[in-house]
Amino acid sequence: MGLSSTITALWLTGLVLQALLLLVLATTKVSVRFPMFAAYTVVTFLEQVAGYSLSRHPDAYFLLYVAGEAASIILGVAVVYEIFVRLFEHHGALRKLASRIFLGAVILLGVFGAVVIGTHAPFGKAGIVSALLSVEEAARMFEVGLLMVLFLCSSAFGLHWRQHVFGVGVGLGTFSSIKLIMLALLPHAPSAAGVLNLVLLISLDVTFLIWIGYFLVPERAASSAGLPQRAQLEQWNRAMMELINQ
Amino acid sequence: MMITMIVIVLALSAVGLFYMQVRNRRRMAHQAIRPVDLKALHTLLDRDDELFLREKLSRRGFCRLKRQRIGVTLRYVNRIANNAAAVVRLSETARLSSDLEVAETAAQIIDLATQIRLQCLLAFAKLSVEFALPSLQLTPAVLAPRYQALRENLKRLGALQTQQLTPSAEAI
Repeated sequence: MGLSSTITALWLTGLVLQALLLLVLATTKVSVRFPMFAAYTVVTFLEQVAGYSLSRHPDAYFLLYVAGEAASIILGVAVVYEIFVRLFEHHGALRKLASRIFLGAVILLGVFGAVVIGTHAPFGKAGIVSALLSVEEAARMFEVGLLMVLFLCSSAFGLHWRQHVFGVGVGLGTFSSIKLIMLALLPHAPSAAGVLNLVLLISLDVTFLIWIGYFLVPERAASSAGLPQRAQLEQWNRAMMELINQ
Repeated sequence: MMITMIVIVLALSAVGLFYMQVRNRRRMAHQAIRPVDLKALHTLLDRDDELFLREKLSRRGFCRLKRQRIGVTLRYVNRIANNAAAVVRLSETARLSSDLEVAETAAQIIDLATQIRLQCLLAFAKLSVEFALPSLQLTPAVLAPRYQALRENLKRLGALQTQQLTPSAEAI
Protein backbone atom coordinates (compact mmCIF):
# COMPACT_ATOMS: atom_id res chain seq x y z
CA MET A 1 0.00 0.00 0.00
CA GLY A 2 1.47 3.36 -1.07
CA LEU A 3 1.66 6.47 1.04
CA SER A 4 -1.23 8.10 -0.79
CA SER A 5 -3.59 5.16 -0.35
CA THR A 6 -2.55 4.80 3.30
CA ILE A 7 -3.39 8.47 3.86
CA THR A 8 -6.78 7.99 2.18
CA ALA A 9 -7.48 4.91 4.30
CA LEU A 10 -6.56 6.78 7.49
CA TRP A 11 -8.69 9.73 6.46
CA LEU A 12 -11.70 7.49 5.87
CA THR A 13 -11.06 5.70 9.17
CA GLY A 14 -11.01 9.10 10.85
CA LEU A 15 -14.34 10.00 9.30
CA VAL A 16 -15.91 6.78 10.57
CA LEU A 17 -14.43 7.30 14.04
CA GLN A 18 -15.61 10.89 14.10
CA ALA A 19 -19.13 9.84 13.11
CA LEU A 20 -18.99 7.31 15.94
CA LEU A 21 -17.80 10.03 18.31
CA LEU A 22 -20.74 12.22 17.34
CA LEU A 23 -23.06 9.30 18.02
CA VAL A 24 -21.45 8.79 21.44
CA LEU A 25 -21.76 12.50 22.20
CA ALA A 26 -25.44 12.44 21.31
CA THR A 27 -26.27 9.28 23.26
CA THR A 28 -24.23 9.95 26.41
CA LYS A 29 -25.41 13.56 26.76
CA VAL A 30 -21.78 14.73 26.99
CA SER A 31 -22.70 17.42 24.46
CA VAL A 32 -24.95 19.07 27.06
CA ARG A 33 -22.09 19.43 29.52
CA PHE A 34 -19.52 20.26 26.84
CA PRO A 35 -21.30 22.37 24.21
CA MET A 36 -18.05 23.84 22.87
CA PHE A 37 -16.50 20.42 22.51
CA ALA A 38 -19.64 19.20 20.72
CA ALA A 39 -19.47 22.22 18.37
CA TYR A 40 -15.76 21.54 17.81
CA THR A 41 -16.48 17.91 16.89
CA VAL A 42 -19.35 18.81 14.54
CA VAL A 43 -17.34 21.52 12.76
CA THR A 44 -14.24 19.33 12.31
CA PHE A 45 -16.44 16.45 11.08
CA LEU A 46 -18.10 18.70 8.49
CA GLU A 47 -14.67 20.02 7.49
CA GLN A 48 -13.37 16.47 7.03
CA VAL A 49 -16.39 15.38 4.99
CA ALA A 50 -16.25 18.49 2.80
CA GLY A 51 -12.47 18.16 2.54
CA TYR A 52 -12.77 14.59 1.30
CA SER A 53 -15.34 15.58 -1.32
CA LEU A 54 -13.26 18.57 -2.47
CA SER A 55 -9.90 16.77 -2.46
CA ARG A 56 -9.77 16.90 -6.28
CA HIS A 57 -10.44 20.67 -6.40
CA PRO A 58 -7.33 22.38 -4.96
CA ASP A 59 -8.65 25.97 -4.93
CA ALA A 60 -11.90 25.09 -3.21
CA TYR A 61 -10.03 22.75 -0.86
CA PHE A 62 -7.61 25.53 0.11
CA LEU A 63 -10.46 27.89 1.01
CA LEU A 64 -12.15 25.14 2.98
CA TYR A 65 -8.88 24.34 4.77
CA VAL A 66 -8.39 27.99 5.81
CA ALA A 67 -11.98 28.37 7.03
CA GLY A 68 -11.97 24.96 8.72
CA GLU A 69 -8.66 25.48 10.52
CA ALA A 70 -9.71 28.96 11.70
CA ALA A 71 -12.95 27.54 13.12
CA SER A 72 -11.09 24.56 14.60
CA ILE A 73 -8.55 26.80 16.36
CA ILE A 74 -11.16 29.21 17.75
CA LEU A 75 -13.33 26.33 18.96
CA GLY A 76 -10.23 24.52 20.28
CA VAL A 77 -9.38 27.49 22.51
CA ALA A 78 -13.04 27.64 23.55
CA VAL A 79 -12.83 23.95 24.52
CA VAL A 80 -9.74 24.69 26.64
CA TYR A 81 -11.72 27.40 28.42
CA GLU A 82 -14.60 24.96 28.86
CA ILE A 83 -12.20 22.49 30.48
CA PHE A 84 -10.95 25.27 32.77
CA VAL A 85 -14.53 26.12 33.82
CA ARG A 86 -15.46 22.47 34.44
CA LEU A 87 -12.25 21.78 36.35
CA PHE A 88 -12.68 24.65 38.78
CA GLU A 89 -16.49 24.79 38.98
CA HIS A 90 -16.57 23.29 42.48
CA HIS A 91 -13.35 24.89 43.72
CA GLY A 92 -14.35 28.44 44.53
CA ALA A 93 -11.30 28.97 46.73
CA LEU A 94 -8.94 28.15 43.88
CA ARG A 95 -10.82 29.73 41.00
CA LYS A 96 -9.46 33.23 41.56
CA LEU A 97 -5.85 32.08 41.77
CA ALA A 98 -6.31 29.73 38.81
CA SER A 99 -7.91 32.53 36.76
CA ARG A 100 -4.89 34.75 37.38
CA ILE A 101 -2.47 31.98 36.37
CA PHE A 102 -4.60 31.25 33.30
CA LEU A 103 -4.67 34.94 32.32
CA GLY A 104 -0.91 35.20 32.81
CA ALA A 105 -0.43 32.18 30.56
CA VAL A 106 -2.74 33.70 27.94
CA ILE A 107 -0.65 36.89 27.84
CA LEU A 108 2.67 35.03 27.82
CA LEU A 109 1.62 32.59 25.11
CA GLY A 110 0.10 35.44 23.10
CA VAL A 111 3.43 37.25 23.14
CA PHE A 112 5.33 34.07 22.24
CA GLY A 113 2.84 33.42 19.43
CA ALA A 114 3.51 36.90 18.05
CA VAL A 115 7.26 36.17 18.20
CA VAL A 116 6.71 32.91 16.27
CA ILE A 117 4.78 34.75 13.55
CA GLY A 118 7.38 37.53 13.55
CA THR A 119 10.29 35.13 12.98
CA HIS A 120 8.59 33.67 9.89
CA ALA A 121 7.87 37.11 8.33
CA PRO A 122 8.30 38.44 5.63
CA PHE A 123 6.42 35.69 3.85
CA GLY A 124 7.51 36.35 0.25
CA LYS A 125 5.67 35.81 -3.04
CA ALA A 126 3.78 32.62 -2.32
CA GLY A 127 3.49 33.87 1.20
CA ILE A 128 -0.17 33.35 1.94
CA VAL A 129 0.28 29.64 2.66
CA SER A 130 3.35 30.13 4.86
CA ALA A 131 1.67 33.07 6.62
CA LEU A 132 -1.34 30.90 7.36
CA LEU A 133 0.87 28.06 8.59
CA SER A 134 2.72 30.50 10.88
CA VAL A 135 -0.51 31.84 12.34
CA GLU A 136 -1.73 28.28 12.80
CA GLU A 137 1.53 27.30 14.49
CA ALA A 138 1.23 30.22 16.90
CA ALA A 139 -2.42 29.41 17.60
CA ARG A 140 -1.73 25.71 18.22
CA MET A 141 1.13 26.63 20.51
CA PHE A 142 -1.26 28.87 22.42
CA GLU A 143 -3.74 26.00 22.74
CA VAL A 144 -1.11 23.45 23.81
CA GLY A 145 0.45 25.90 26.27
CA LEU A 146 -2.89 26.61 27.93
CA LEU A 147 -3.64 22.91 28.25
CA MET A 148 -0.21 22.36 29.80
CA VAL A 149 -0.88 25.15 32.31
CA LEU A 150 -4.23 23.55 33.18
CA PHE A 151 -2.70 20.11 33.74
CA LEU A 152 0.22 21.53 35.74
CA CYS A 153 -2.13 23.65 37.90
CA SER A 154 -4.42 20.72 38.59
CA SER A 155 -1.44 18.58 39.59
CA ALA A 156 -0.11 21.27 41.89
CA PHE A 157 -3.54 21.87 43.47
CA GLY A 158 -4.23 18.13 43.73
CA LEU A 159 -7.48 18.43 41.79
CA HIS A 160 -9.34 15.38 40.62
CA TRP A 161 -10.31 15.39 36.92
CA ARG A 162 -13.66 13.88 36.13
CA GLN A 163 -13.47 11.18 33.45
CA HIS A 164 -15.03 13.21 30.60
CA VAL A 165 -13.09 16.44 31.28
CA PHE A 166 -9.86 14.49 31.47
CA GLY A 167 -10.59 12.68 28.19
CA VAL A 168 -11.39 15.94 26.38
CA GLY A 169 -8.18 17.55 27.70
CA VAL A 170 -5.85 14.66 26.95
CA GLY A 171 -7.31 14.05 23.48
CA LEU A 172 -7.22 17.69 22.44
CA GLY A 173 -3.76 18.17 23.94
CA THR A 174 -2.28 15.13 22.21
CA PHE A 175 -3.67 16.04 18.79
CA SER A 176 -2.73 19.73 19.07
CA SER A 177 0.81 18.84 20.18
CA ILE A 178 1.36 16.50 17.22
CA LYS A 179 -0.10 19.11 14.87
CA LEU A 180 2.19 21.73 16.40
CA ILE A 181 5.24 19.53 15.75
CA MET A 182 4.07 19.02 12.18
CA LEU A 183 3.54 22.75 11.62
CA ALA A 184 6.96 23.56 13.06
CA LEU A 185 8.73 20.96 10.91
CA LEU A 186 6.89 21.50 7.64
CA PRO A 187 8.68 24.72 6.50
CA HIS A 188 12.07 23.06 7.15
CA ALA A 189 11.22 19.73 5.51
CA PRO A 190 8.67 20.29 2.73
CA SER A 191 9.67 17.03 1.07
CA ALA A 192 8.47 15.13 4.15
CA ALA A 193 4.97 16.62 3.91
CA GLY A 194 3.45 13.24 3.04
CA VAL A 195 4.98 11.46 6.03
CA LEU A 196 4.04 14.32 8.35
CA ASN A 197 0.49 14.20 7.04
CA LEU A 198 0.43 10.46 7.71
CA VAL A 199 1.59 10.99 11.31
CA LEU A 200 -1.01 13.71 11.78
CA LEU A 201 -3.82 11.48 10.51
CA ILE A 202 -2.72 8.65 12.78
CA SER A 203 -2.71 11.03 15.76
CA LEU A 204 -6.16 12.31 14.76
CA ASP A 205 -7.56 8.77 14.64
CA VAL A 206 -5.93 7.99 17.99
CA THR A 207 -7.47 11.17 19.42
CA PHE A 208 -10.94 10.07 18.31
CA LEU A 209 -10.34 6.71 19.98
CA ILE A 210 -9.22 8.48 23.19
CA TRP A 211 -12.39 10.59 23.26
CA ILE A 212 -14.69 7.65 22.47
CA GLY A 213 -12.96 5.56 25.13
CA TYR A 214 -13.18 8.20 27.86
CA PHE A 215 -16.83 8.95 27.07
CA LEU A 216 -17.91 5.31 26.99
CA VAL A 217 -15.99 3.91 29.95
CA PRO A 218 -17.94 4.76 33.12
CA GLU A 219 -16.12 6.63 35.84
CA ARG A 220 -15.25 4.59 38.89
CA ALA A 221 -17.04 5.95 41.91
CA ALA A 222 -14.80 6.55 44.92
CA SER A 223 -15.69 4.21 47.72
CA SER A 224 -14.51 3.40 51.19
CA ALA A 225 -13.24 0.05 49.84
CA GLY A 226 -9.93 1.68 48.92
CA LEU A 227 -9.34 2.92 52.44
CA PRO A 228 -6.56 1.23 54.39
CA GLN A 229 -7.15 -1.17 57.28
CA ARG A 230 -6.15 -0.06 60.78
CA ALA A 231 -3.35 -2.68 60.98
CA GLN A 232 -1.95 -1.42 57.73
CA LEU A 233 -2.12 2.14 58.98
CA GLU A 234 -0.22 1.16 62.12
CA GLN A 235 2.46 -0.50 60.02
CA TRP A 236 2.92 2.62 57.97
CA ASN A 237 2.92 4.68 61.09
CA ARG A 238 5.66 2.55 62.66
CA ALA A 239 7.70 2.76 59.48
CA MET A 240 7.41 6.51 59.56
CA MET A 241 8.47 6.62 63.21
CA GLU A 242 11.49 4.47 62.40
CA LEU A 243 12.35 6.83 59.61
CA ILE A 244 12.22 9.78 61.99
CA ASN A 245 14.27 8.06 64.68
CA GLN A 246 17.01 6.71 62.43
CA MET B 1 15.46 27.68 13.64
CA MET B 2 15.85 28.46 17.33
CA ILE B 3 12.15 29.27 17.67
CA THR B 4 11.28 26.06 15.80
CA MET B 5 13.36 24.07 18.27
CA ILE B 6 11.64 25.77 21.21
CA VAL B 7 8.21 25.04 19.70
CA ILE B 8 9.10 21.38 19.09
CA VAL B 9 10.49 21.00 22.62
CA LEU B 10 7.30 22.57 24.00
CA ALA B 11 5.12 20.22 21.96
CA LEU B 12 7.13 17.15 22.97
CA SER B 13 7.03 18.23 26.62
CA ALA B 14 3.27 18.57 26.28
CA VAL B 15 2.95 15.01 24.93
CA GLY B 16 5.12 13.78 27.81
CA LEU B 17 3.04 15.73 30.32
CA PHE B 18 -0.24 14.32 28.99
CA TYR B 19 1.17 10.79 29.12
CA MET B 20 2.32 11.33 32.72
CA GLN B 21 -1.11 12.68 33.63
CA VAL B 22 -2.80 9.56 32.27
CA ARG B 23 -0.42 7.38 34.30
CA ASN B 24 -0.81 9.50 37.45
CA ARG B 25 -4.59 9.43 37.16
CA ARG B 26 -4.54 5.62 37.17
CA ARG B 27 -2.16 5.62 40.13
CA MET B 28 -4.21 8.21 41.99
CA ALA B 29 -7.34 6.09 41.61
CA HIS B 30 -5.73 3.48 43.85
CA GLN B 31 -4.03 5.92 46.22
CA ALA B 32 -5.19 5.54 49.77
CA ILE B 33 -4.98 7.89 52.72
CA ARG B 34 -1.76 7.29 54.62
CA PRO B 35 -1.17 8.13 58.25
CA VAL B 36 0.73 11.21 59.41
CA ASP B 37 2.21 11.51 62.87
CA LEU B 38 1.38 15.09 63.72
CA LYS B 39 3.24 14.99 67.03
CA ALA B 40 6.44 14.05 65.26
CA LEU B 41 5.81 16.70 62.66
CA HIS B 42 5.39 19.30 65.41
CA THR B 43 8.72 18.21 66.88
CA LEU B 44 10.38 18.57 63.51
CA LEU B 45 8.94 22.06 63.11
CA ASP B 46 10.06 23.11 66.60
CA ARG B 47 12.41 26.06 66.32
CA ASP B 48 13.64 25.73 69.91
CA ASP B 49 15.14 22.37 68.99
CA GLU B 50 16.78 23.98 66.03
CA LEU B 51 18.21 26.80 68.16
CA PHE B 52 19.53 24.23 70.63
CA LEU B 53 21.21 22.27 67.83
CA ARG B 54 22.64 25.45 66.35
CA GLU B 55 24.27 26.29 69.70
CA LYS B 56 25.59 22.80 70.41
CA LEU B 57 26.83 21.72 66.98
CA SER B 58 29.51 22.99 64.67
CA ARG B 59 28.23 24.98 61.70
CA ARG B 60 28.93 22.09 59.35
CA GLY B 61 27.32 19.55 61.68
CA PHE B 62 24.28 21.76 62.14
CA CYS B 63 23.83 22.22 58.38
CA ARG B 64 24.05 18.49 57.77
CA LEU B 65 21.59 17.69 60.54
CA LYS B 66 19.19 20.38 59.49
CA ARG B 67 19.18 19.08 55.94
CA GLN B 68 18.34 15.65 57.28
CA ARG B 69 15.49 17.12 59.34
CA ILE B 70 14.25 18.95 56.27
CA GLY B 71 14.40 15.72 54.26
CA VAL B 72 12.12 14.01 56.77
CA THR B 73 9.85 17.03 57.03
CA LEU B 74 9.53 17.01 53.26
CA ARG B 75 8.32 13.42 53.43
CA TYR B 76 5.66 14.46 55.92
CA VAL B 77 4.64 17.39 53.79
CA ASN B 78 4.52 15.15 50.73
CA ARG B 79 2.32 12.70 52.60
CA ILE B 80 -0.02 15.44 53.77
CA ALA B 81 -0.19 16.77 50.19
CA ASN B 82 -1.02 13.31 48.84
CA ASN B 83 -3.59 12.76 51.59
CA ALA B 84 -5.21 16.11 50.82
CA ALA B 85 -5.46 15.16 47.12
CA ALA B 86 -6.94 11.78 48.07
CA VAL B 87 -9.45 13.48 50.37
CA VAL B 88 -10.56 15.71 47.46
CA ARG B 89 -11.03 12.65 45.25
CA LEU B 90 -12.81 10.55 47.88
CA SER B 91 -15.08 13.41 48.99
CA GLU B 92 -16.32 14.05 45.44
CA THR B 93 -19.05 11.42 45.85
CA ALA B 94 -20.21 12.95 49.14
CA ARG B 95 -20.31 16.38 47.51
CA LEU B 96 -22.93 15.08 45.07
CA SER B 97 -25.07 13.66 47.89
CA SER B 98 -28.78 14.50 47.88
CA ASP B 99 -28.48 15.30 51.60
CA LEU B 100 -27.68 19.03 51.61
CA GLU B 101 -25.81 18.94 54.88
CA VAL B 102 -23.57 16.08 53.73
CA ALA B 103 -22.95 17.82 50.41
CA GLU B 104 -22.14 21.12 52.12
CA THR B 105 -19.75 19.53 54.60
CA ALA B 106 -18.06 17.64 51.75
CA ALA B 107 -17.68 20.91 49.82
CA GLN B 108 -16.08 22.52 52.89
CA ILE B 109 -13.71 19.58 53.24
CA ILE B 110 -12.75 19.79 49.57
CA ASP B 111 -12.08 23.52 49.94
CA LEU B 112 -9.98 22.95 53.04
CA ALA B 113 -8.08 20.08 51.42
CA THR B 114 -7.23 22.23 48.41
CA GLN B 115 -6.08 25.01 50.74
CA ILE B 116 -3.84 22.50 52.51
CA ARG B 117 -2.50 21.43 49.16
CA LEU B 118 -1.58 25.05 48.45
CA GLN B 119 0.05 25.32 51.88
CA CYS B 120 2.02 22.21 51.01
CA LEU B 121 3.26 23.86 47.82
CA LEU B 122 4.40 26.81 49.87
CA ALA B 123 6.00 24.46 52.37
CA PHE B 124 7.88 22.65 49.59
CA ALA B 125 9.20 25.97 48.31
CA LYS B 126 10.23 27.21 51.76
CA LEU B 127 11.81 23.91 52.80
CA SER B 128 13.73 23.80 49.53
CA VAL B 129 15.15 27.26 50.25
CA GLU B 130 16.06 26.16 53.79
CA PHE B 131 17.69 23.03 52.43
CA ALA B 132 19.87 25.20 50.19
CA LEU B 133 20.53 27.73 52.96
CA PRO B 134 20.26 25.91 56.32
CA SER B 135 20.91 29.09 58.33
CA LEU B 136 17.50 30.43 57.21
CA GLN B 137 14.34 29.78 59.24
CA LEU B 138 11.38 29.61 56.89
CA THR B 139 9.50 26.50 58.03
CA PRO B 140 5.76 27.06 57.63
CA ALA B 141 4.04 26.86 60.97
CA VAL B 142 0.49 27.15 59.61
CA LEU B 143 0.42 23.73 58.00
CA ALA B 144 -0.22 21.57 61.05
CA PRO B 145 -3.23 23.56 62.39
CA ARG B 146 -4.86 23.38 58.91
CA TYR B 147 -4.39 19.63 58.89
CA GLN B 148 -5.93 19.36 62.36
CA ALA B 149 -8.96 21.31 61.10
CA LEU B 150 -9.31 18.90 58.18
CA ARG B 151 -9.35 15.98 60.61
CA GLU B 152 -12.12 17.65 62.61
CA ASN B 153 -14.20 18.27 59.48
CA LEU B 154 -13.76 14.69 58.31
CA LYS B 155 -14.97 13.46 61.69
CA ARG B 156 -18.05 15.65 61.25
CA LEU B 157 -18.71 14.36 57.75
CA GLY B 158 -18.24 10.77 58.88
CA ALA B 159 -20.85 11.32 61.57
CA LEU B 160 -23.29 12.88 59.09
CA GLN B 161 -23.14 10.15 56.48
CA THR B 162 -25.03 6.94 56.93
CA GLN B 163 -23.02 5.28 54.18
CA GLN B 164 -19.41 6.02 54.81
CA LEU B 165 -18.08 7.19 51.47
CA THR B 166 -15.40 9.46 52.84
CA PRO B 167 -12.13 8.54 54.51
CA SER B 168 -12.23 8.09 58.25
CA ALA B 169 -10.59 10.82 60.29
CA GLU B 170 -8.65 8.22 62.27
CA ALA B 171 -6.91 7.19 59.05
CA ILE B 172 -5.12 10.51 58.80
